[in-house]
Amino acid sequence: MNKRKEMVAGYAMIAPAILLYLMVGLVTLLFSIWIAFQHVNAGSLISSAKFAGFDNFKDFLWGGDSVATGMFFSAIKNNLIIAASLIVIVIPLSLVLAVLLQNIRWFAKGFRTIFLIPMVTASVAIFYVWQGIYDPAGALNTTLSAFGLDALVAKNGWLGEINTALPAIIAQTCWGAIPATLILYVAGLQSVDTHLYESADIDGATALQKLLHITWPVLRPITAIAVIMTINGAMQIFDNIWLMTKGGPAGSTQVVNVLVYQDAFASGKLSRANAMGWTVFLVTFLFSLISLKALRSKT
Amino acid sequence: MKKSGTQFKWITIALCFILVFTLAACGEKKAANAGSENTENSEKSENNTENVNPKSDVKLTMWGFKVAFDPGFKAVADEFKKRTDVTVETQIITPDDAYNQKVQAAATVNDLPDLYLYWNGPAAGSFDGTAYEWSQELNANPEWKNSFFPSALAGQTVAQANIDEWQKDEKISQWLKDRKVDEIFGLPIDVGTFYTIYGNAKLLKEAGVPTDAPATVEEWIERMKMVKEKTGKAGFVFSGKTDSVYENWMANFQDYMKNGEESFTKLMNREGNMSDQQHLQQLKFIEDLAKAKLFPDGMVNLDIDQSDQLFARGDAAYSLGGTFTFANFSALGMKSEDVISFRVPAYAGSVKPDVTAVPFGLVQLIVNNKKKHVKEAVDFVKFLTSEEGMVLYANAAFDIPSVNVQDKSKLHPAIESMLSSLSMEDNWWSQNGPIRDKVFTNPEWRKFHELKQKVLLGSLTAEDAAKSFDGTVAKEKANEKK
Repeated sequence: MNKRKEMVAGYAMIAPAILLYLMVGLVTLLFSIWIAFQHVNAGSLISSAKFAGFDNFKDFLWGGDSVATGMFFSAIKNNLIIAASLIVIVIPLSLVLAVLLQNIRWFAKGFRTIFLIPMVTASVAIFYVWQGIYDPAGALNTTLSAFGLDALVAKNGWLGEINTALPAIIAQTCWGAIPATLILYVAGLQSVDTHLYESADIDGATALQKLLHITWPVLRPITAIAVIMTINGAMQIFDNIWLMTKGGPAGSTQVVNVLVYQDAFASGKLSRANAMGWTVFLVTFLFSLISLKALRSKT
Repeated sequence: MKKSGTQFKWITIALCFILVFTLAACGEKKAANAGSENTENSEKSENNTENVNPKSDVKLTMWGFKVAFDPGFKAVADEFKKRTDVTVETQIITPDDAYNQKVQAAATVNDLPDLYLYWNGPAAGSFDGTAYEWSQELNANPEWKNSFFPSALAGQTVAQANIDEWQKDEKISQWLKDRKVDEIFGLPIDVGTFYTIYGNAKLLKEAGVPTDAPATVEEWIERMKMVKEKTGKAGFVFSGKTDSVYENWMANFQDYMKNGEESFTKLMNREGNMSDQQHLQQLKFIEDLAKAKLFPDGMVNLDIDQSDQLFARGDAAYSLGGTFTFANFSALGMKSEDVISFRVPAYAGSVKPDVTAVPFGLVQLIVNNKKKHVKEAVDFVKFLTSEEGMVLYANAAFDIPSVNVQDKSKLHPAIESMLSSLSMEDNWWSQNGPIRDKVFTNPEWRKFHELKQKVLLGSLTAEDAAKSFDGTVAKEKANEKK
């Protein structure tokens, strides 16, 4: 009886949070799915709604609006390039930095603070600084010129050239993504029992053997989480691109969330924006699932 | 110990219930308010021609997106408050795209304020019945209606061409399809034109370039080359990042001047080809200037404000803008004697080289028909668009009013001078907004922006870009037929 009372009390305590979630979270999500299959107008979402079937999806997936289709696939490609770049650059780099932070004695806390700066600084301020770095007369071009590397200078700025804008965005995104992954790895490394390393030393294990058989099994699930978080972050990337390039020049940094924003808030195409948002969710979900399966299989 | 734990648990449960009921009670109150709001709303709309109670404690909220306009609205609001006790509180949200986002989002959840500014256009920003309809008010007071510059009001009025377009669009709401000719959903507060080239007089003089208006585009380009040669500065700047600035403020107007109504209409109606010689100059101009290095480095990534700043710094000889741009240069520290201006030049051999750029309404003020104080908001707009209100507004906002102020001496001398330089006589260009505005509605023009950037950066030739544009048009035409 006492247990039953405790259970009732527990449910009663979490009820406000669940209600809030249902009202704010779930209802909004369901509403968004509903809008994706309607033609709606801002100002009269319900009364103006007309069932559209897959029309909104057709618009950007199968050439219903040929320009939107071209832009959507180009944007998805850019999202995937960013995701792949982040996985290849951020995860190994974070792991190396975490190992170094674990082992160094001098100024360890100072380094940790420095590495966390991107995480604790206002993102808008950061983007303006990076914009300054990439400007035609910015720090990067000036430095390259100073070292006589004029051939590498981007005349229109690193964000102003079709070939350099996306790599420039990727570099900035990597810089901003390292702290979160680094924290995961540092926590993972700290959770490894040091006695295991001592035992391995006694047994004559090499550094590589210790890494593969003691450290990696602990870091493997963390890496799975890091990969999923990275894919998720890359597919949802928006604020830096919106503030720095608005998807340009010539669509070279266009990503899906910029298209969603432009459709929803510049063109008033709310239904298509929702349809696009859900399509990206499915793509992200699929890639996350594949990554999870690949990294979990041998755990 | 156990007893005190149980007591704590029950107190927590009780507090949770109190919290839930309090929240529910608040929601109830709001719903009740909404109900009364609707009732009052319908009552108010029946009596919207009555005078405002002089002892009103009504407070209206107004959203805007132009910092420079705010002193104008505040001046009018102060005077309105003195007369009616109705307070109008203005809130500015910048830049334009952030404002647009806020308005769209607020419209979606029916949370727009009593009054809001929006870009001009028939039923633009009306959000399916959110905007108050003005035709009855205006027709009941012909003197007031006739005080507006015809082109300003025409740009706001629903025309048969708009209705025909909406009827064709399957995705558009029934509310828009049900619109009638001559309905007006917002009143213009100012007039102006695009198609204005500003020149940096100091830089031009330094390069020995005449400061008058060049007769043709070809002559204008020669002057840019002289500036580049003598000073090393760029010849021309505009926002390469913002879509439609070049197309809508310059290239399409030049196309109309070069080829005339019929050819321009065909291009906009997907019956002409951009790759045809008569239209190719829209992209060729960009290519020629880029090859001659007459644009500043990084122009492709400049937004409108950054482009204005670059010009004001003296880093480019000419800048593309509108009548509204001078206020920006002035705010950036340029003196009027340092700036020259002229209409966008026509190409040599143009069929209509002397078309005047008739000013049209730029920004409209919309009354939210779904709010409680519709009558007071309507009265505020009426006061703002009266001769007295417009003088107060124009002088404080440094903006050209949408109403033909009879006593021009009341206006700031600079506004009076700008006003006197504008022709208010309608022409084909000013009367055919639905054709011009396809630059915003037809997807191929979204593609044009991308192609223009590629030409600007030298990764595509004008000819290839034009072919790509025509390809997109063909696809869209095929979609239309389906």
